[in-house]
Amino acid sequence: MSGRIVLISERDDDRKFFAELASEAALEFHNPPILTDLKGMLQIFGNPGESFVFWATDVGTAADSIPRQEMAETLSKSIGSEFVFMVSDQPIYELDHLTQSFFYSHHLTRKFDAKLAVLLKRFFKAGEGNRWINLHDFLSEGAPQSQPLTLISSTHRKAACDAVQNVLSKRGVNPRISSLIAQGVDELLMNSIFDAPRKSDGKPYRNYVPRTDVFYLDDKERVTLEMGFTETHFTFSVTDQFGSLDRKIVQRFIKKDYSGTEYVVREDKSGAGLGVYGLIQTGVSLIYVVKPGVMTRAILYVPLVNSYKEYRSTFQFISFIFL
Amino acid sequence: MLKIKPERAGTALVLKLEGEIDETFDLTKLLPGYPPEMQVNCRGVNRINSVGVKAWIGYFQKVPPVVKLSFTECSPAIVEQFNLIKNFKCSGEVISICVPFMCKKCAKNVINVFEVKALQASKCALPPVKCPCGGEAEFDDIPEEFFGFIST
Repeated sequence: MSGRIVLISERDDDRKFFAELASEAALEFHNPPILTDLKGMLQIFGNPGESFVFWATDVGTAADSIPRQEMAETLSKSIGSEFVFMVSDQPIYELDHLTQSFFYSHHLTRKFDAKLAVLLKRFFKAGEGNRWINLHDFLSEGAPQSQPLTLISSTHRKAACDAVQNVLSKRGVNPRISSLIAQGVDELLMNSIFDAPRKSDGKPYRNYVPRTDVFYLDDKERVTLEMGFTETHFTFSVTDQFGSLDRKIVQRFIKKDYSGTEYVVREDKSGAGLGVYGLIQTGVSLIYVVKPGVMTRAILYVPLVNSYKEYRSTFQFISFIFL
Repeated sequence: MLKIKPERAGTALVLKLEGEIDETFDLTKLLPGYPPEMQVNCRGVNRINSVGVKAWIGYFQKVPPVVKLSFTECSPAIVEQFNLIKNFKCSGEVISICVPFMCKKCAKNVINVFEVKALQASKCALPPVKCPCGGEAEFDDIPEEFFGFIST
């Protein structure tokens, strides 16, 4: 592997983790002084694909004092957002400046462990040649992967969720975690079946359909579910063939706070607007890969843990990769 | 699929829920009107999706204030919603919740039911819990998160 990790942070724990990660991934490691001039940083970043930038974005720190707008422009002109990872102690929904901007593709919480290192190394590998597309990019070589399951009817959703829960139960996964994942897959399938479909003029045509409606999915509307398993994590991917995911809308749902503000039931809408909110709040990691007009793939990433407490204590990751 | 088992307990109607709550959740089909007292037992609810949450709030927020509404033995999936959605319990009172534990010896999951009032009085300090195998079981969640709705 070639390239470098550029860390924009003054924290020792960041330095330690990313220096070790760079070494394991055979990448160079740079930790330039904070507040260096942006032109200088541009030189360190190099060309697209040469650097993976990890930027500590905790509010009030030195790394946070870099003018964000200027930095965002610098990053978009140089390496491209898909190589920019924001790092913070807080989950993304607590950081307004991240839920309202789009110059980065990834956010991760600072809970460094070996499982996170494995995931990031998969990202580095998948990022080579800019082909961040398939579920198997996030799996180790030879890792078991299920046969893709193609949903051809709206009624298949429930059976697919039950299948996910059964597979996880058979693998001895904590029942609360397997329920959470089945629920997560349910939300992703609903998004693919009801929210993704677009007419040729780009307008949605299924989002107002009641979720109880029974209908067949034509060739273009079919949704694929895949599952993969490794020694460190499980992955579940749901793919539609529209590529209509709007990052702004997803981030708007992420930043909602229904624990402080009442949820208002809107009878005029068929969806609830709670799917992504619930997933992110319960610690799920998500990777969205979008080819506009062609496909949206949502990959749900679950670290292999022994208990629910351990699950809630591990890192959380969210990515938006637009091809 | 959600199973709903109605039972009478004096003037109260007890509804035992078991399974998944989803877009099909609709108690109006089962209950044409409202009893003076409604106890909803949620021990058997293992998951609830977003449209299930919407249907739940849509139903329970219409329960007239004169109806004494309460939720008992709420499973962790339901407790999660109390923490995520401020008005998930609507006008109801949460009487008791199922608290998850994991055995340190055999790694089995153990559920113990606690009264919410007792948890409030003890500031959510939990007594020692034994697994049927004899091993010590520890609380399997993050206290500030799981008991968040009790302290607020």
